[in-house]
Amino acid sequence: MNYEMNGGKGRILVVDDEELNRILLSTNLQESGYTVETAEDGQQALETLRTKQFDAVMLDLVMPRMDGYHVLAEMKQDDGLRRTPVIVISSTDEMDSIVRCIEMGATDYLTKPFDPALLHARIRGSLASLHEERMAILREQFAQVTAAQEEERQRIARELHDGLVPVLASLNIRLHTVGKRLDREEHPLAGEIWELAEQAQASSRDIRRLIHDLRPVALDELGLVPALREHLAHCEREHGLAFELVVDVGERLPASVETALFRIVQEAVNNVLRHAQAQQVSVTLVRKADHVELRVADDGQGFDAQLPLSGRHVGLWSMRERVEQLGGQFEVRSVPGQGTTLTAVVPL
Amino acid sequence: MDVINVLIADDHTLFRTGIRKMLEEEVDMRVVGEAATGREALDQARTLVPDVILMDIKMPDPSASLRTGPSGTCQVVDGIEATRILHREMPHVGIIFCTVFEDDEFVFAGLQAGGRGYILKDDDPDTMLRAIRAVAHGESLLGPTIAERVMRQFSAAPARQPALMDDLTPREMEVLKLIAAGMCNKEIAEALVLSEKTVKNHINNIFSKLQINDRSQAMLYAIRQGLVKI
Repeated sequence: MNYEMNGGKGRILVVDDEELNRILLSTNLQESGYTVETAEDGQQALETLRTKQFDAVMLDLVMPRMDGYHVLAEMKQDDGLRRTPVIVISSTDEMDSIVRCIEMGATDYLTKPFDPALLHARIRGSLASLHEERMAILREQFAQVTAAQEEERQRIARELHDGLVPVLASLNIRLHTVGKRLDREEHPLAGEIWELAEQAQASSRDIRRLIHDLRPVALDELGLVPALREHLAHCEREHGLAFELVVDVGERLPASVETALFRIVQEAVNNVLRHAQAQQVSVTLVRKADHVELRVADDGQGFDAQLPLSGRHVGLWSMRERVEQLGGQFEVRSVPGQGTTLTAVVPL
Repeated sequence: MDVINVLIADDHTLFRTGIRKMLEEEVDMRVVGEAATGREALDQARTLVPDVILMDIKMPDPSASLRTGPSGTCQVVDGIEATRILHREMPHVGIIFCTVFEDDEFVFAGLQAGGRGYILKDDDPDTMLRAIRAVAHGESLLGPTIAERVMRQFSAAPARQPALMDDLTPREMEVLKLIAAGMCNKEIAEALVLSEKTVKNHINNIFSKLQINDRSQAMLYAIRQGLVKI
């Protein structure tokens, strides 16, 4: 699903049986940067709507073949078209029809003759609410996907940790035992067995790393603080990023908060490693009476936080989303050359 | 040469079998029993009185749901709890944790509970044999991964710490010692006849005075200051 407006500013379908109206509306909208297509009657409108994606429809009511009411009714019954904003075009003396259309689900109306300023205001309003609606869907999908992903990761990590690691370990032990016996007998296959034992041990180590990447067992068994310390120590060992961890949280936090904050630190540290060229990252976690505050600060090169979010900042978007899902607030402060500080405040 | 009697406590049958077969090859070792839960480990240890117990940390108890405790909750005895009890009852029995958990908290909690060894299941099998012999002779042994972690904890610790302890009140000092002994807040509250909330306050004060973040660091601090002995 595409959440951007179609064709730049947005793609609009103008439906009117009068050619002059179609030309007037399309020229006006095209001059303002919208992509416009037209339909001469209701039938054609529905066909066009079902083949391409539109961000809004300007719909005349009285038309041959199929009128505007019919189009509106069809659209509201179509899952793919239900959300597309419809602005009804009518004459000033058709107040009853406008009321009927609004009741049927039209977003707004415009009376003939058109006032260009009003036309643009109505279009902007419809597109803004469409955008908001699409963002809400996106947010909900993000929440569902992250929750499902977390659950899946937890399950797989657990299975690997409790199931596969001990199995590989016992495999190694048994191969080791056989290897020793074959050594004593100076059996030619001894070397082969030692090699297998080594492979079993190496696989077990690989799986430990995989578990760490999926979801550290410490997060469930021990809680957020030990999991953070393990993760930061891991990054220090692997990537040489020094860390400072200042914590004052007392008891364990709700599981959803612990998971979100852990993932935020993980994402933040990833960003630091990838972009910041920092020497040190400092993580502060403090619990207050009714909220918990997390701060992740680095001493790297920073970036211009005023610039619009680009691809690199998808991470920032998802961090903000995680915090807002919990009803919290997220803030990024960064100045080129002066490091970056992320702050998340989550209510308890 | 005396034979070392070993009890294996682990919920993985496959893993117990692997260990048993390995130990059977050693002339100086004998597997005297196996246990799949913490409770079984306690029972077996009491009847068999082994020289060494190889103890897993997490051992789910499928029958625990049938035996509910006084508060109505399941009473699962994990390896650390079983070790704490056995260490009190029979301190001469050497307990080695053999687990997949490498996190500091587990290591410190395990050693505090009275374990004399801590190795990972995927450490080199010879490490396990060395640990069994060492612990049977009253010594201690940590697997290489664990030893490195513990060393790093000590070497990473700032040198300014000793002076900080002077800031603790006598009561906070008592609480610190009990944290280091592996007690949870509830147990500390009972031991000192305080409310859990008061204990929590003391702990927060201790953490901020010692500039530490959590219990494992408190344990480490207490060990380093000689307040408690492993």
